[in-house]
Amino acid sequence: MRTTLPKILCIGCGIIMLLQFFVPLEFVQRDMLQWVNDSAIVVATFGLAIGLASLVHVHSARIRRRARGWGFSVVTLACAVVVAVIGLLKSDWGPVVAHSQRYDILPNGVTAGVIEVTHTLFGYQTETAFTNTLAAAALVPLQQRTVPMFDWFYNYIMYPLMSTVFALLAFYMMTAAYRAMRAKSWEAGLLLAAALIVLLGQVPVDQFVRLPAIDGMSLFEWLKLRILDYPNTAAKRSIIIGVALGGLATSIKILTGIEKPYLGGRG
Amino acid sequence: MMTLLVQWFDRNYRRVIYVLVVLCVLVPAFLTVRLRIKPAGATQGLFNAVEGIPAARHAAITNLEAELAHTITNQEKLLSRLQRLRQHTNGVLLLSLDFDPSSAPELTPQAEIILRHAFMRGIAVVAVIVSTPVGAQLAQSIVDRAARETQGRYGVKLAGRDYVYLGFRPGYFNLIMQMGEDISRAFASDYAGNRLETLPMMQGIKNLHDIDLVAVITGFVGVPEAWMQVAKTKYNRPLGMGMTAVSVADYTPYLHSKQLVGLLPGMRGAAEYEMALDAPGAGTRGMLAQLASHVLIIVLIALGNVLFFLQRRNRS
Repeated sequence: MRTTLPKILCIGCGIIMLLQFFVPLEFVQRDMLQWVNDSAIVVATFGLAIGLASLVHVHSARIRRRARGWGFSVVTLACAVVVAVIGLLKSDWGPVVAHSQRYDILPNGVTAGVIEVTHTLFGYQTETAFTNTLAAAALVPLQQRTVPMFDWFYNYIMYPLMSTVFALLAFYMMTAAYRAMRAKSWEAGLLLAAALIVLLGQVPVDQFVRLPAIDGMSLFEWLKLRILDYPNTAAKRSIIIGVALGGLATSIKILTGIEKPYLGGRG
Repeated sequence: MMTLLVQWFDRNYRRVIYVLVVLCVLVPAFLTVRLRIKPAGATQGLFNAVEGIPAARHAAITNLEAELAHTITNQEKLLSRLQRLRQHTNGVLLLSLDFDPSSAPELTPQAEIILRHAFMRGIAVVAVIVSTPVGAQLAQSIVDRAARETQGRYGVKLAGRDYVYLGFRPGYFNLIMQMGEDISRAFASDYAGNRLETLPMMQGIKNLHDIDLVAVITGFVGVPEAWMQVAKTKYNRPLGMGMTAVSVADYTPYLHSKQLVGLLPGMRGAAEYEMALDAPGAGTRGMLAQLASHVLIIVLIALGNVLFFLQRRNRS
């Protein structure tokens, strides 16, 4: 039963997914597909929960064993907890950093109303007190702008960190270009020439250097497109077709129960 | 002297290169050189597809009216669809912003210019992210900013009326499949938590059939294939893409097979699109830094090879 039920589920779901590409019946196209999709999204959502559980398990074990670099595991778990708590808290909550007042004056010189502004770490909230109804009509209150805490953390911590780590690649790539991209053989030279053409074709270098134009494009741009359109497309197509045939064979083996990767190869 | 210089560079090349990279990125940010970038065919294809959305919607309405006049079966279904199509006479664009902060500098200009173009033409926009929860807030800020910046000249753009940001749900392949049948089942609410049935804009959009163009801006492998298999192959929706320059070689074959109406290659793609729309923005500004960086990398490759051949000749 431990192996039969997963096999039945896998083959059944696979056949349902297959049918809706080939059988134009409304029951297959709508109801069966809805059921599989709903189930898949629920499974994927539970996948996130399993991922979180796995993260906690792996890192708590590292902390218990005092494994090398266990301090990073503490930081990882602390960050996970802090972000989860922030996500669950009321979105506009935040420590008050300042109060301010703004008076609006009508064209006739009469004070029309007062706007109380409460600045929090995550934005500001406004409360408007009007002196009379006429003034209320004349006064345009500040647009309320409260930044959810989760967004604040994302914009000012997560975003800069991810961008910075990725930006470091530029420095490594530049040093690698100097050290590794060398024409050590005829084939390497050919590859290098193609890389140089694509690099030059990607930027408007013709604005600073006079270059011949072909089909309304600069020489390097024209050459770049020829490389992308012919040798690249030919190579990519053969890879895509090869991968597709391999995927088809594997799918047939899974659908017929010959291959069972979901059971770890057992059963 | 030359030998000493070469030896010094060999010891300190990392420091020198790092300083040059910083200069190549920083200095162009302070320059105001207006680059002339001619849109390539792949970029023009996506631009024309967005530009043609209102016309495509009018054609769809006309065709459906003609079909309704000549058909006696399925009248109710066709009428319901016609009503939905008439709600957005300028058409609907579905924009999938599938990237995270690591590829944001290259892909944000693409997303922004497509959104600005759509808002300028009065096209309703459904924005979504299907691949990663990490990019959800980023995508929201891009959509909101584009709506805010466009509203001055082209009327106020309101969330829920002119555009909807659906946010993220896991399981992208099945999610896209579900959007094909019923978007409100895939996303019960928008990112702000409003139920889709309460949003005026979504009254005219039920599923992928009500979308005139799907545009996918992505830095992830696998996501373009999912959109192609479902949105293009199964639901026959016109599909355009924008991606990081490094991924373009992988997806050029789909452009030739006409599975894609257009393909924006990295920051260059954004700059070309901005030129096509005559609205220079972040893409055009970034091209000068990219030009400087490309020239630097070429110089470094050349320098590395010259030193390599000199060393080989000395050894032999």
